[in-house]
Amino acid sequence: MLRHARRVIQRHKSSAAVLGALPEYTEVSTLKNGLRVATERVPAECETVTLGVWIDAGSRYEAASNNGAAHFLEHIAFKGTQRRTQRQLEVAIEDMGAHLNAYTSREQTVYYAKLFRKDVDVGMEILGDILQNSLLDSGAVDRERDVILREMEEVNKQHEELILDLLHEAAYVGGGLGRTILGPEENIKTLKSKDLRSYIDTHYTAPRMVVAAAGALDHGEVVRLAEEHWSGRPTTSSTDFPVDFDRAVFTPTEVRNEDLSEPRAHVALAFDGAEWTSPYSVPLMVLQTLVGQWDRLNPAAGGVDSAPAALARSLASSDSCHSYMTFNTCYKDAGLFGLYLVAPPEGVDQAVATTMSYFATLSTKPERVMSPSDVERAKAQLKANLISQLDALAHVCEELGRQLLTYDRRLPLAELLARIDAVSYDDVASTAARFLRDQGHAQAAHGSLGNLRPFEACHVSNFS
Amino acid sequence: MRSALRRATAARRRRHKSGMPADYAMVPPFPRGGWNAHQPPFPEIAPTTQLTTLPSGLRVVSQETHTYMSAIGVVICGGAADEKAHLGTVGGAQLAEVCAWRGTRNSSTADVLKRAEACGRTCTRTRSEQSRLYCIDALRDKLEDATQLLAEACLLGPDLEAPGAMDEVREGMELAFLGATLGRARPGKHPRRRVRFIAVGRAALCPPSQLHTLSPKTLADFRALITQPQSLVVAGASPYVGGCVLAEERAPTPSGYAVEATPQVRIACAMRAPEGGWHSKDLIACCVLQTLLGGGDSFSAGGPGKGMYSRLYREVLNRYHWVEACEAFVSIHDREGLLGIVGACAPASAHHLTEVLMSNLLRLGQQPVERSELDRAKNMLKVNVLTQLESRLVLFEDIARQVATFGRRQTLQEMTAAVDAVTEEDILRIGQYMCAAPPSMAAHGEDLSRVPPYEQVRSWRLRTAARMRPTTLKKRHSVSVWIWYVDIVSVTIGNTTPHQFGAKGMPVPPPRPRRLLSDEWWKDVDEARKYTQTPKPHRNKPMAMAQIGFNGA
Repeated sequence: MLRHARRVIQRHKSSAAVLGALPEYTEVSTLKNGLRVATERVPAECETVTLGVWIDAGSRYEAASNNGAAHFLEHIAFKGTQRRTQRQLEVAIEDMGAHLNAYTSREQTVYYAKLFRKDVDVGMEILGDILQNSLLDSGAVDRERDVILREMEEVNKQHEELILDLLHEAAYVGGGLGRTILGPEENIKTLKSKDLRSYIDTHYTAPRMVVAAAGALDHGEVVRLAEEHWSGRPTTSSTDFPVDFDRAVFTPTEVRNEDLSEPRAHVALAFDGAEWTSPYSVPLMVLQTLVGQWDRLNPAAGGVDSAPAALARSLASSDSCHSYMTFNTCYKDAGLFGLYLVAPPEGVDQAVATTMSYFATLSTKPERVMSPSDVERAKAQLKANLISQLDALAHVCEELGRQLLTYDRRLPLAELLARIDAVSYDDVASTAARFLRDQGHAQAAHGSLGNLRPFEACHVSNFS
Repeated sequence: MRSALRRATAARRRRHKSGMPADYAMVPPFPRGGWNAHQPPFPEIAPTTQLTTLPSGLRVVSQETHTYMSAIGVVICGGAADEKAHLGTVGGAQLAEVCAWRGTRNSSTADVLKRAEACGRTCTRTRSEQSRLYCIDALRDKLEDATQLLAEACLLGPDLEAPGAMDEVREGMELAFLGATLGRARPGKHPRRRVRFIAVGRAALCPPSQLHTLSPKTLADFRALITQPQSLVVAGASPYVGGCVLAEERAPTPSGYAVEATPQVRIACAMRAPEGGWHSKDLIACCVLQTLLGGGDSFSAGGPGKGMYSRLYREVLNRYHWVEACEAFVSIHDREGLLGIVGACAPASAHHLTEVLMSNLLRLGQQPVERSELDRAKNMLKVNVLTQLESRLVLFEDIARQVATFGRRQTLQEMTAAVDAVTEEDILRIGQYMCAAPPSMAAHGEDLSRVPPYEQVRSWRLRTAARMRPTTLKKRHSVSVWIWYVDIVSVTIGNTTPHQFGAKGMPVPPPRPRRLLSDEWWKDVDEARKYTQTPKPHRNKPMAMAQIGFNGA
């Protein structure tokens, strides 16, 4: 098996020869309770490190009754622990010049900090403190409800966030993936401290957590610190709540939200895609870059409009769309591949029709819309996109933590680049045929929808 | 050998059930961490910046970052500040920026962009008042193509003679102008500094009214003016004068976009700092000062570390609920610089906001900052700068601009040591230098009726400057000082000696003659009366004669 993979790499020596000389240094250890500690040394002069905890728990693991608990917990974690009050915590972080941040997504919860190399021990102690010794004071919980409601208002004003939430609701009706991360309003108003406590006790168990650090660090040192602060984490859940998420079932339905106060139409449509560990995940990434994104206006602040893809050309010539972007989201057992477009009410029907017929052509007669040089260009762009983000230590650390949770191993960059190089024109064509040809899609529409056709008519069947 | 071949062909034939070959699966049974087993030892070399000057005068500088991508680009010294109206080159800098990365005489725009995409990801062009920067971010093995593309697309002339090219370019510039005014950036209009040849204060964006005057000849003239070696030296002095720009206008609505109508007024107050611009010895101290002031939006995301204990957050955003945003900024040029605070509020509170901004600025010259504040600001600045410098594009721009401005690049150790060496005296000295010249003010919004006139704002500074002169009291007044310090605004009344307050660390705000006190101020005073027990001065009594007990700290 090792030989197979090596052959994949050696087959594409041209980039490997130049790029293969640059090594990475990742080490992973497992503590006695099952917690994984991962360190990545970066060969650059850096005084700062990024240190974080990646937890395999998110809004997907909640039930309808406690939907929103993960995000609520993220807020309450900063409100005081048994050793430090909220103010002491904030002043401790700010005096070090560090940044402490957290985010919750559907499948992961992440708490990470950026600090000086010399402050790593304090940082590890603070992270352990806020996750394990949080006070979860009921007064703080009550005070935080208004803040979260206000955050929900702000998030719903951003069209992209709102439309993707609606799309998930349409694509996974009734399932864990279909629920929003912030939770419904009534849950925000009624969640109590004991619900948060039971969420921690159910899901924050050591085998589901990864402590990741990136920077000029010594692995042994990080493991020693992790043992000091994280050995107390239990290995199994101590409550009766279900630990696993419910299986994702893709439902090709639509959520339509006519809102005339928003002058444009926002439509997101997605096909059932591939999960993280599927062999199709890399070809889908190439396909996503190929279909690309486009904005009618010149992007401001120094960007250059890229050469338009085939879909962009047809949308631009029909003058029916303001902008679109393609996305490829992966989860553990499901995925979504689709695009989000913004169009004026009088053109949105035409835009959706153009998009669906483009997908139909792409899946049945790809030679009309895709050329081998397009595929090569897309591969180069994808490689460049992935690599250029890796400058930031925070992103390196995030890749480390996320890959350990999703792939159960670290994917070296050389391997990822080799996998991208190995994708050929036929692979992209067969991927498009597998996922887009005569498959049902899920759709979400919001804003002034004009004459957008009914959902049944959006789907273009292409028996040929 | 044959068995290996048989196994290989069997593997190729044994495809994944979904149709892809078996070796595409993402989870092969690799041992954990097994990839590192065969790798060479860790390189312990710290990368250094290397600088070479070619015989033609062109300076080439590079630094190894051990990544798969490279950013390569060029900085040209010569920007909007060098436009000369009498030579007809107004708008030339922006025109040069928009024309970069477009088609040349030899290839069309689409070809240029396709070649750029094949090499890498991003082509950027940035323009500031005194320089232009073009950059391409390329994969390492395609670096030669990228450099050639950079030279062709950016440095050779674009083909503007083609019909329709000028209109396309003009449309792009108009949209950029609209985009910038819609954005949340502070008003880019620095007050004019009257100079003989160089106008640093000229607006960075060419206003739409002037677009029709642009022509290919404009660009050619501008290039001829700038890209000559002798014109790379900035000629003439540009003394700081201070001034005020009020832009009372509706934010323009481009067709097809809905703008959320929030009638806000944005006011920026700034003073000159540091002395000498980029070449000042107080440059780092000025940056520390900006981090110390900090600030941000009233609704902001992020955990601890975003500056929630910086001075503007504590004293402005947490105190006055009507302030929507308040942030310190610093804008440094070749000879001069500006350090100021930009704030946003509803139009009715514009006067109060200006008072708040000015008092925070003037305070810097009167009272040294606290040790804990300074240490916190130093740590935050170091972490922020180091985090930014991780990005290859930022590193590239840093190296390029440092070499263009200073002739050498300051290493990270030097920078960290310089930040650590800043003291409270440095900050106080900067503050006093700031207050020695009139302030600059800019306001932008729909309704600017409540913004105080510039002469009023100037007079606040003059009063404070008078206070800062060491006073030798000819006779000791028996009147002692009454300080009425409420949670909203501080007022000092009577003759006082400065050191009385400095020693106790009490804030010494600028005194306000009665005519400057606005109605909003009096309203706040009335409200604050509920929370204080000390009596307040009667409105009819002259200030200097107030005789009340000293409210010690």
